[in-house]
Amino acid sequence: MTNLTLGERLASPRVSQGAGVRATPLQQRRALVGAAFVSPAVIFLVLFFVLPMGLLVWMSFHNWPLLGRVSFVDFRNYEAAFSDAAFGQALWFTTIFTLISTPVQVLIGYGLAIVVRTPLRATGLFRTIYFMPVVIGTAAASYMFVVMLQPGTGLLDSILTFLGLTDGRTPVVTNWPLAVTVVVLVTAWKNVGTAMIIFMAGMQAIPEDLYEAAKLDGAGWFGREWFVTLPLVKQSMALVLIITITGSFLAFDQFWIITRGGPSGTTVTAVLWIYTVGFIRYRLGYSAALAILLVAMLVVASIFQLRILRRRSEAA
Amino acid sequence: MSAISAESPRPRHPSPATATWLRLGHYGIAIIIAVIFITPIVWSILRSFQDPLAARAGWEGLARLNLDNYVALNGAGEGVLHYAMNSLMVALGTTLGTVVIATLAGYALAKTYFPGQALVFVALLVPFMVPFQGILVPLFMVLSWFKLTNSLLGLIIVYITFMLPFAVFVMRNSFLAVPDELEEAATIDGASILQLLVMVYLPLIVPGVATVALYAFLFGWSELLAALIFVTTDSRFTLPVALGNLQTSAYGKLDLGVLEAGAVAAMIPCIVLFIFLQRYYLRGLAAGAVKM
Repeated sequence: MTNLTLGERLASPRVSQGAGVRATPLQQRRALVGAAFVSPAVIFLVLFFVLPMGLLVWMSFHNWPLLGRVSFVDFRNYEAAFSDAAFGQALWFTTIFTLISTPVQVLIGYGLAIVVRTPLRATGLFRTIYFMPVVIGTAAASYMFVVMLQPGTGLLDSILTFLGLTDGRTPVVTNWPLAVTVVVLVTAWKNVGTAMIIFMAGMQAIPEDLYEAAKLDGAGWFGREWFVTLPLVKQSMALVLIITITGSFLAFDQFWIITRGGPSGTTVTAVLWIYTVGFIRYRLGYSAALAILLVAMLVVASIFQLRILRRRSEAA
Repeated sequence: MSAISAESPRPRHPSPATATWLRLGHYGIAIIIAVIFITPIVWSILRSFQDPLAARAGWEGLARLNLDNYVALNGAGEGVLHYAMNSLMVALGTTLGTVVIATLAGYALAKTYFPGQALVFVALLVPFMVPFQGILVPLFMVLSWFKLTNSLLGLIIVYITFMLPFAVFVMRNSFLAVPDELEEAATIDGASILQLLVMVYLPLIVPGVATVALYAFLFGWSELLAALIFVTTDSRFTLPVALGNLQTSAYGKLDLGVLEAGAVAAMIPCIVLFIFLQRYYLRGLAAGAVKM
């Protein structure tokens, strides 16, 4: 154990000589400081995470209107969830959206990383531009696209008219394939910067010698990308996949703003449906049961992300 | 030796002319992508300065830019500045709270030892695994017990809680990167714990603080779902929620130019912050502790 923290080293007599030895006053004081400093974070965690988590489980077994009497209903909320066609449809659509959106973002992000990984004179500028949509917020980006997609005056119609593909009034949000395509592209535009940076960092960490060796073996550009780069950015790939999958599965803003769940409820996502059940219909208990099902699906993915993250911080 | 090297394939270095063409191609592709990426932003900014007539005029509309949309935006509901102020207060409150709480926790976890420390660290990371979208219903009840629903303070508290796992993680790493000898020397010189944090550590953990602050601010400024749920009075709406009302015509007939002006107003602070603090934002990404 060479990586002891300062506190652990100061406390080491107690650690090494067993519990019988009393901590020195200095060690006790430091322990007190540590406990005091970490307590605000712990209080927030307990009040606004642990408590709600417990309540989430509790509520899911109750019929819980916003106003009025709460009553215990056993597993009936869960039974209802499994026969709820609208929830099934929402999960189905969310899955489809995730299945389309993820490869699109991974491919574009990977491609962008290839473009910006070599230092050229303007690489920094390109990187900034490609990344910029990430920071503007999904809501703001979605409102922008509402205007851009407006039949007649929007940017989309201007482009399609210019290309001679339309008479100038493309009804995007009332056409399912078109609406989904557009939201996938907007989401990609908004998010791929993140994938790009993660891939780029992974690529830049590959030792140059490996490429030289591959060249000596006669590998061309594609060969080097396929046999050297791709296998060595595996960890970045895992991270990007997890972030993209969980992000797509939790999509709300884009659909709430751009398609508003339409046409006729076919683009309602899981989160959008849970929101509707809970805060528009005020069936809080049922909404809690649906939320638990959603959380259960995503916790697994997040555990993987946490593991990668800890491994990275240990390597650093 | 020489016979062997003569047989092995020579590494193919492109000729100078080919290299130049490759570089030009690289630039060409990069520029085309840049145009694609920046077009929605530029178009939106231009569109936000066009009234309905100018918007229909095509290229000629560019000659008729005016401030009508922004004037109208300030007349919608409580006025854009009011909602922007709400968003700003929420964003700043989230930033301040997150930075202070996470810095204290980061120090405690990296530089002190107390019983149960490892467990506390893991517990503080747990919320990271549960998407916040999943606990909004019970969080609403908890906030209502504390009389914190429909208040910006309640929203700030929720945002701080969501930000903490990432923030504590980053701050703990920042403190771990500072050599222990520094604190030992300062303690021998008789520095108090506050002096130690502000005068010894702060200059060294500024990058971590900047990273946390930037993420907290951008999250508080642009979050939609929780703001939609926890705040119900129009005068307390944040910008993203107010724009939703604009879109659904709650403030009168929808004028797309006005909506665009609102979206641009919500976007510009983020872009400006990012351009100046890019380094710190990307640092947070490299840590891998991001969500989308």
